[in-house]
Amino acid sequence: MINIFIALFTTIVVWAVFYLVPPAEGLGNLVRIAFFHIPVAWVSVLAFLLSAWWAYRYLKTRALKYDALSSRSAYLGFLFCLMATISGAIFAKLTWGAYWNWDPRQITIFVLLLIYGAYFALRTSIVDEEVRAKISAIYSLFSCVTMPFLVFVIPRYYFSLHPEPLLNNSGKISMDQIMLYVLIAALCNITCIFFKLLFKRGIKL
Amino acid sequence: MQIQSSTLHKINLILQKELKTEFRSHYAISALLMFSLTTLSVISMSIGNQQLDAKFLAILFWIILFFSAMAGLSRVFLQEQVSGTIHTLRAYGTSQPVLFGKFIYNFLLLNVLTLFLLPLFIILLNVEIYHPFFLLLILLAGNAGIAIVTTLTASMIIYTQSQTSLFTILSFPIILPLFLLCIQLTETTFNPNSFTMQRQLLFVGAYDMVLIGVASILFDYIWYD
Repeated sequence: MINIFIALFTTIVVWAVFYLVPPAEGLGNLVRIAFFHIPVAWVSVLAFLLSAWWAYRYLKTRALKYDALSSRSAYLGFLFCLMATISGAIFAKLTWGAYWNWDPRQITIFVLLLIYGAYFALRTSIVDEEVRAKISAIYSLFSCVTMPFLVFVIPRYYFSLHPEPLLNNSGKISMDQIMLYVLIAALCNITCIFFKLLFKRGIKL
Repeated sequence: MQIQSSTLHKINLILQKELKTEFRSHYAISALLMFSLTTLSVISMSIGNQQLDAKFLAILFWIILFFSAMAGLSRVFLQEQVSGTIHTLRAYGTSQPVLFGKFIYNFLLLNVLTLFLLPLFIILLNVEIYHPFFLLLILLAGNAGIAIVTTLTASMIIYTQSQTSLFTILSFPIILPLFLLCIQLTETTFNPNSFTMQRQLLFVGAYDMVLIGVASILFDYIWYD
């Protein structure tokens, strides 16, 4: 039932992205990448935070199901993070002429990739199940410290070509109405897919 | 007051123990100094007489410092495990004094390394420093951040199979924000016509504080099973 719903939802969103969204000023049809890129980037950060939250729950309760959730969330987050990096790099190449230019957002996503990589390297090198759960939970929480600095401090000191965030300083939403609705739908859709994949193997809260 | 002074006393005891074992073995300090000397000489030789600009100098300095730190600082808990003393320490030492004792020890080691590296760096690469006091603050703040991160990751890697190689992998992403800010700040001290950026130094200090606070909370979970 849920599968059918998500499949239908995805089809509608894909249709809307290709047929409903008008080509953007200056970007043309390339703007359609953003409807994949923004939701995927959002989910990779969401997965990171959820992973840390379940790591915290594990340390409090010592129930291994939280560790399973935490690691699965990190695993999915890593995949979404890769997709966000690749789609962003393609977009950057097509619009700014280079795949990579150390934009603040690129620094953030790169550090996120490094943290995920370190997290998996840590997990694979510990044999005992409970020790693995404990140590990786601690690392997951410790690495969270970097997030506020990467999101709020680093962008102040590095030049950025990134389009203004949707909720920018002036509080105005500078976006076409239809685009905004499609973007919100795409965000919901990708988030649904993420949660569906997360709870796929019958892990219960 | 009584409790506080006894915690300080315990931190001091741990620090004394670390310094004593270090004086006997010279393990960490020789690894740190030799690693930094090797890296610096390779860089200096390959550059030759070329004059680098401030940005490159700052980057090189912090890269040498970071990777030298990675070579020596994992010792704090690894040594305890290899020699089998960690069980005694676990039985007698409470978590916070152990963390802070070892943190201060790592911090001191890093400062010794900096004292060794900086003059050589200035001589070999022909660096001029225009804001020495500001540079001192940057180095202290940067070293404090590296010391706290390495202390916590060192306590985590003793449970793993690939210990030292994992140490760098785990530490780097968490140190990276600090690293970027410190490089930018150090660049300004090598540059004659630049302003010192106190705001950014505040951010580095704030990051250190957050790291110390979080490490202090999390270390309880590592130390007590």
